[in-house]
Amino acid sequence: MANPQDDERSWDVVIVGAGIAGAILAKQLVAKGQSVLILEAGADPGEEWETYRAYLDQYYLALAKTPNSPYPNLPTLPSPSVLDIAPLHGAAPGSQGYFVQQGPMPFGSNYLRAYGGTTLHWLGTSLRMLPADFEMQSRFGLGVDWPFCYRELRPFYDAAEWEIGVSAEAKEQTPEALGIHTSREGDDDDFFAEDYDYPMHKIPDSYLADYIAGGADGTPVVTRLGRGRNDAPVPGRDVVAIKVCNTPQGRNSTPRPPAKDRAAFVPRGATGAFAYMGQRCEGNSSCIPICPIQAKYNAMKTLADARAKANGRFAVQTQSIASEVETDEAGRVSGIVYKRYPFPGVPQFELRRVRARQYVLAGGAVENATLALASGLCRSSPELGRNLMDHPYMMTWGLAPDPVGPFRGPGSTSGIGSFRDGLFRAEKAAFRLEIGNWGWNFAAGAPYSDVARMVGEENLFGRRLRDRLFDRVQRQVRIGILVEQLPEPSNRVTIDPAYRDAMGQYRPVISYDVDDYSRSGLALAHEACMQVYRRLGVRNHTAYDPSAAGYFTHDGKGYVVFGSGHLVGTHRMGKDRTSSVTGSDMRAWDHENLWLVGAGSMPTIATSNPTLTLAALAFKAAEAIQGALK
Amino acid sequence: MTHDKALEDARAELQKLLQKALMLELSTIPAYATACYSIMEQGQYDRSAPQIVNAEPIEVLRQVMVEEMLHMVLVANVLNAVGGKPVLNDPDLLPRYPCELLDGKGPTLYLRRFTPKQVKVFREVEKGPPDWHNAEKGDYRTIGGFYYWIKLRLQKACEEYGAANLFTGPPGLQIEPGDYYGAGGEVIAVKGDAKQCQERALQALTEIMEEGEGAPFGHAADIRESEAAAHPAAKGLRYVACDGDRIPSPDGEERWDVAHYFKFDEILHSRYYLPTDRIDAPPSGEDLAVDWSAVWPMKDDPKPGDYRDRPEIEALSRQFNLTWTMLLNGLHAALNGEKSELAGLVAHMYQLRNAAQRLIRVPLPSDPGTTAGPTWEYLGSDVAVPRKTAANR
Repeated sequence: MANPQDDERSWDVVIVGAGIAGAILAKQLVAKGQSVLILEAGADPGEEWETYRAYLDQYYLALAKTPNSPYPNLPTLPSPSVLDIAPLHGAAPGSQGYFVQQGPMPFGSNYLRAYGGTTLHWLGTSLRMLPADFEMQSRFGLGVDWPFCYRELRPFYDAAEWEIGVSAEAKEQTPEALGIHTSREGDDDDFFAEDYDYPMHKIPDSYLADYIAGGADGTPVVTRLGRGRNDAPVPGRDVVAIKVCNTPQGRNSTPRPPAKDRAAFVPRGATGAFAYMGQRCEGNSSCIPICPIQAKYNAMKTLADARAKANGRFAVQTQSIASEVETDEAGRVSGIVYKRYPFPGVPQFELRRVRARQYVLAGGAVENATLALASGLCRSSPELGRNLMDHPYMMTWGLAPDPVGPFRGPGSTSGIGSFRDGLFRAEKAAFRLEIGNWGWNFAAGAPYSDVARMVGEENLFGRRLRDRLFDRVQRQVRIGILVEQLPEPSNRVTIDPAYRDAMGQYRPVISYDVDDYSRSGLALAHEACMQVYRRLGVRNHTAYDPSAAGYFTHDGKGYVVFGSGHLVGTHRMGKDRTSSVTGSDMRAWDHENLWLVGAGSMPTIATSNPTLTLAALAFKAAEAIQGALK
Repeated sequence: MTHDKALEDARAELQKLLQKALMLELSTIPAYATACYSIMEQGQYDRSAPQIVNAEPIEVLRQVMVEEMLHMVLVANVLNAVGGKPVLNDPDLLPRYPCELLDGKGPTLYLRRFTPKQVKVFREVEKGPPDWHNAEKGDYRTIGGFYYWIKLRLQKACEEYGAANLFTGPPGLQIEPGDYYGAGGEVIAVKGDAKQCQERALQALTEIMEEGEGAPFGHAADIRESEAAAHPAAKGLRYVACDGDRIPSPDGEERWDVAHYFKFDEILHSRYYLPTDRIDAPPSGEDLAVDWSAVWPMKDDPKPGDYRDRPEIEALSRQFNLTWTMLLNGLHAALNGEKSELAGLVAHMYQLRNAAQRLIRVPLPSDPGTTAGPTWEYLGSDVAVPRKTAANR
C-alpha cells in the first residue's frame, strides 16, 4: 500500500460515520469545546436542498421503492440492498450485492452509507428497552446481561428523545402498554423519571389502529402451557391480554407546552431554503424510504446543530472511506488511514491519514466490525464481529370486513407491546406487533400488485376497476412481527481477502441463522395475529412462499422472515474483557483511545427498534470521551 | 348616549373591522394558491437527468400562504376575544373574483396563473401604507394601513371603556399553539386578565403587519426613510427585510424570516433576501431559480360559465368547489369553538391542491391554448365536513 499523506490538521476527536451516533457525539463534544472531524464514506451531503430533492426524485422514479432506493448507491461505495437477498443453497456463499452471505439463512437487513446514515430511511420508531431486557442472563439464563441496568441508561434515553424529537404521551406508555408485566417486581416502577414527558404530543393513532384496538384489546393469548402434563396455563402468568398502544415516533407533531425546567421543543423542519417545511408530519405516507418534508428526524438535523455550535471546530469530510485504524506498540490508536475519492463512482482515490487524540468508530454494527477486523483491532476477546442480531421480521395480512383507511399517514402509528416481556421468555422469544398502515404494501406490493392483477387477470377497467380497487385496497390489514434474537457467536461478520469492493475495501462476510428460540417466538406471534384477525373478522390472506429467501419451517409449518434493518451486537459492551469488546463506556478494552459506539455496542437486541437505544448510548459515550479528553 | 351604548357601538365597530380583516386575509389565499397551483410539476422526469424546476417559487408562495392562514387564526382570536363571531360561511361576505381589496381602495386580486405580472400584484397587496396620516384617519389604502387603523380603534376603545369591558369573549374559543397544526409563526391566544388581553391582541395585530409588509413602509422607493421616521408610529422600526420571525434553525444558530413583500420580490429578482438586507436595496442572498415558462397556460379569471358545455370539466370544478366549501365550513366551525376540527382540515388543504391541479391540466376547448382553472365558489353552509371514517381519514 502506498504511503498515506498526513492531513495538516489534527483534531481532538475523529469519528468514522456521519449517522445518528456520530452526529450526537459530535454535537455533544463540540458543545464542550472539542474539535471534531467526521469521516463519511458517502458522497452527497443531503443537507443541500437540491440534493435532498434529487433523492426525492430518485424515489419517485424508482420502480422498486426499497428503503435505499432514493439514495446514491455508487459501484465504489455499495450499500446492502434488500434486492440482493436471495435463497442460499449448499455451502456456496451468496455474493451478489455488497454482503457476502455464508448462511445458513441470508441476512436480510440493510443500512445506508451516506451523510445522515440510515436515519434517512428509518421509520422513526423510538422505543426504549425494558428493564428486563438488560438482564436476560440473570433472569432467564439466556444471552448476556448488560454491564448496567435500565435505570442507569434512563437519563440518556431522555436526552435522546429530546434530541430526536419524539412524539408520544408518557402517560400512555404504561407498563401494561409496554408489556412489562411479569418478569420481576419493581420493573414497572419509574419507567420514566418523575415529571418527564416526551417533547411533542403523540402522532394521532391511525384509523386502523383504533379499529384493531376496538376489536382486539383484551384478547387473551396463551403464551405458554403450564408445567407438567395437562397443566393448564395460569392466568396472569401464561396468558397475555392484548393491548394496542401508540408508538413513540421520531416525527414532528405538536410540541408540548413548556414545563418547569424545560422550554418547549422547537420542531425542526427541512434544511436551507425549505426550513419552513416539515415542522409537522402531514402524513405523506413515505417515511420509509424518504420523508418529502423532513418532518421525520434524520441525523442531518443533529449534524447541522453541531456545525452551528462549533464555530469552525467541526467538519464532516465526505467521500472519505476509513480504511485502516493504525495502532502503536502500546495499543494506542495513532491515526486513521482513509481513502478520499474525488469523483463519486470512480474507483480512484488518494490515501490520507488523519490524527486525533481520541478515535471513534460509529459506522454501524457491520461497518465498525469490518473496519476493526481489517485493522486487526480488539484481539483480546474473540467477540469482535460476533453476536450479530436483527429483528427477524415476519408479516401477516388479511382483508377486513370494513374499509380501514390504509395508505394514509405514517407507516405505523401504533403497535401491540403486550408480548415484549414475560415469563415465556425462558422458552421463546419476546416480540412486538407493529400495526402497518400501508395495507399490503410491504407484504404483497399493494396497491400496484392489485392493479396488475385486476387488469391482467380479472380484465377490469374504468369505473369497475376503480371501485373494485378501492374496495379491495381499503380493507387491507397488515401486522408486522419483530422478534428478538439472542446473541449467538456463530452469527457474525468476518472478512475475507477474496471479497473486496471496487475501492479495495473488505466486504462484510456474514454468517447468520434464526434459532429455535426466535422461531418459537415467531410461531407464537403468528398465532397472536390470527387471534386478532378472528376477533375482528379479518380474513387471513397470509401466504409464505417456500422459495422465498427467508423461508424456514418450525413445528411443521412454513414461515418467511425478512430483515428489519436493525443491525446490533458486533462489538458488545461488557464487564469482562474476555467476553466483550468494550467496557460499559464503549471504550475498547485493548485500545485506550478508541471507542466503538452504536447499535453494535448493544449486548442484546430485545424487542425495541435500536435507534433510540443507540442514540442514548451515544450520549453516554460522549460523556466518557469528554472525560478522557480532560 | 349612555356609556353602555357607546361601548357596544365601539365593540360592534371593532367586530366589523375584524370580520373584514378576516375576509381580507382569506381573499389573498385563492389568488396566491391559484398562481402556486399553476406552476408545473417540479421534477421533470422526461429528461435523462431529472431536473428540478420551480421548487423554490412554489415553496416561497407556500410560505406566504401558510402565514396568511396564521393571520386568519390571529384575527379570529382577537375577534373572539372582543365577543365577536368569526364568520366564514356567509356567501355575501366571502370574496369573489376579481376581488377589490379594501372597498376598492386597495389593489384588485385576480385568479391568474403564475406570471411576473401576477407576482407584482401580490407584491402590491403586501405593500405597507404610503403614509400614516391617512391611515390614522381611517382612510387606509393598504392592508398595513388597515391594520394600523384597527389597532388605533382597539387602543381607543380600551382607553375609553376599559379593556376588561371590551375583552369579554369566552377564552375557550381561542386557538392556541397546541391547536394550530401548521407553521408560519407563533399563535397568540388573546386571553388572561384585561391587560394581558389588550397586550396580546395588539401583539397579534402587529405580528400580522410585520409578516406581511415587514418594515411598515414597504419599498422605500415610495417614501424616504427620514420622512417616515418623523411619524411617531415609526419609532423603533427596522428598515430591513426581516419580519421579526425566527424560522426553525439548528441549535445555536438564528435564522430569520423575511416579510411577504420581500418574498414576492425575491421571486421577481430570482434571488433571496437576507434578513439584514435594507428595504431600499435589492436582495443579496442566494440564487432562487424561477422558470416562468414551466407554468400551465391557465385561462385568466376562470368562470363557472366557461365549463357549461363540458360536463367532465364541470365535474372537476364542482369537486374543487366542494372541497373549498368543506374547508371553509370546517374553518368556521373550528374558529367558533370546535377547535379539534383544525387538524383534520390539513387533509382538505391537500385535496384542494390536488383538485385544482387536476383542473389546471385540462385544455379548455372553448379557448384553445388555455386550460381550465379553479373558480373558488362557495356552495353553502350545508356542505358538511365528513366525520372521521376510514374513507376520509
